[in-house]
Amino acid sequence: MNTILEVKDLSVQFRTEEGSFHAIEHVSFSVQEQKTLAIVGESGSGKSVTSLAIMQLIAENGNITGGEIFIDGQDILKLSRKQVQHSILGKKISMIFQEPMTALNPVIRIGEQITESILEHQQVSKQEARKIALDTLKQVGIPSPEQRMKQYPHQLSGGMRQRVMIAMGLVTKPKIMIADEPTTALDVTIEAQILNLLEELKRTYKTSILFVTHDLNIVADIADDVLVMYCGEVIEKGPVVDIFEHPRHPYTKGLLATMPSLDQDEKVLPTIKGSVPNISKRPQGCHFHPRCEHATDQCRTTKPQTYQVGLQTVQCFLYAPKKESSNA
Amino acid sequence: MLIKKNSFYDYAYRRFRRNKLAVIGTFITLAFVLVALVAPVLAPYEPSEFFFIEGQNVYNKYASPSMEHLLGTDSLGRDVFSRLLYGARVTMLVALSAVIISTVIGTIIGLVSGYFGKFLDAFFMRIVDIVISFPVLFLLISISTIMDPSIWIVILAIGLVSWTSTARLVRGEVLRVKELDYIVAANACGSSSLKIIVKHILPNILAPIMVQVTIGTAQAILMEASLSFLGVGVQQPTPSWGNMLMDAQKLLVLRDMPWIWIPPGMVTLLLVLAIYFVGDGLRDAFDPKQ
Repeated sequence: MNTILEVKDLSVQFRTEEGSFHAIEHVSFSVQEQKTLAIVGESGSGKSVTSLAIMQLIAENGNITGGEIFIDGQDILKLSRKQVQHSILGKKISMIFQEPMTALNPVIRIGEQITESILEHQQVSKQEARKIALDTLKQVGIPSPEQRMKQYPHQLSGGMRQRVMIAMGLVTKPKIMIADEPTTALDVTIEAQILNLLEELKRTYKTSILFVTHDLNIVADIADDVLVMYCGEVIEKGPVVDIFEHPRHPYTKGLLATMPSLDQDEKVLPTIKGSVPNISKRPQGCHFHPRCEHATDQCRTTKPQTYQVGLQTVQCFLYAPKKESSNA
Repeated sequence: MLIKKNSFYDYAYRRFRRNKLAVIGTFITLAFVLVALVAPVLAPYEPSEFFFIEGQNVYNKYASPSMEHLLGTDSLGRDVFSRLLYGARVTMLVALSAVIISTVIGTIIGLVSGYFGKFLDAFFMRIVDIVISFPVLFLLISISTIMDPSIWIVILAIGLVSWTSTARLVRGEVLRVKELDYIVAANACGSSSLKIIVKHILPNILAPIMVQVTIGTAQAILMEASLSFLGVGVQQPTPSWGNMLMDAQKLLVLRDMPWIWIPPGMVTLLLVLAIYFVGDGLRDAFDPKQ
């Protein structure tokens, strides 16, 4: 199986008034061909920064301080801005945004917005581009696409717009799509439709998906592999089944415990104590130790390495080989 | 129809139509434009034609309004009404050309500094500060003293000092728009900066630019009037509303011969007011919150 996206040791730093802080540190993962990797984490865990870094869309006060990003075997951080624009962005990798209401240009017709991205990356005539756009709109389940092509974004509903966004991401047949919480702004019935659509398109277009979300139900639904982030670090990763059945890291366990379940009659949902620390006040050692019930003195001073447990990798001392912990 | 149905501009047009003052302003402005265009047909005389008192070799100066001279004659014995009509041409030519210059410069500089930021932004904004700090009047007086004053110098001078507000406005709008998702999305599609600026940013900030153009036109008319009134704008014998007011610098004229200065003063006031109403109407029409 081919690796489509490989991120190695990626760190991103932001300069602020109070100094420079790492939004993400030493993030590594890979996405295989036609697989879905979900990145989960709370707000501020660095999951969006990771996806924006891959798309080279980091805000002006941030920059990638280390690491490599391989897309289809090519390290895109070694390419010039022009090369990335021309041959990577929109061509091999595309992005679906969170807010379909604002991610389309309000003054340009749907059809033109879709064909623009085709004409940018493929040597085709305007008519051919139109035909591709039309076919793709059909693929993403937009009724009467000919009429829709002539309309403006405000004439479409949220779900329709998200479909248009997905169509825009697909027209160039990218190797991988990054979906940054693509269903957060939609209501649940539409959300289910969009998720089914993504699943279906993944097969027809033979593309991989990097799915950024905080919704664990969606993760269970569509992901093949899961990456759990906390305070800008990958604390656990592995196949979705293993993570959900045997979460290893105390944070992952806590996250899964907060999921409401249908067969238990709980009055109050469990929560993880405390909140994500501010980027400028990240604790020493393991970033999670102030909220962790297993925290030891070692956790407060030194950062744990990543340890392999079955198919999962975990960044927690509980899984250090010499200390076989019983309550793990 | 130029405006696409159900588009942003279509809705704006409908809102604009409901604003009475703006519609009246539009009609007044169009009437002035029409008068300026057909001035040679309407004017009874040439604007620089001198009239003599019948049977004498003396200029017919300061003649009060009569059937022969509807608005009397000025200090050199020229027909005020004819000069008023031809003056509309000159005044509007100066104002519109100056606004085109200032809008082009202001928009380009605003787009560049807003979009690229950093050094370019700091550089252009300091230039804006410098231009704003110029004592415009003295600058223009010196220019027209050094150079042979012509109408084009006046246009260039007004255009070159009034682009700053457009530049600041455009820069602010770009800063707002470029953070929006669809610009980020265009970046994610690998579009070039030029394409993003021209295709995605400019059309989305056209509305405030159009408002700025109307208001800029009104201001340019006033600027031309003050410059010409002071004698450093449009030069005699070319008539402009501003230099027709020059005669009012004499106390005698100001006190006893209102036909010489009231008409150019009134038309200037009326046109500027009408254009401001149009500008206000446009601003309200383009505001989606209305």
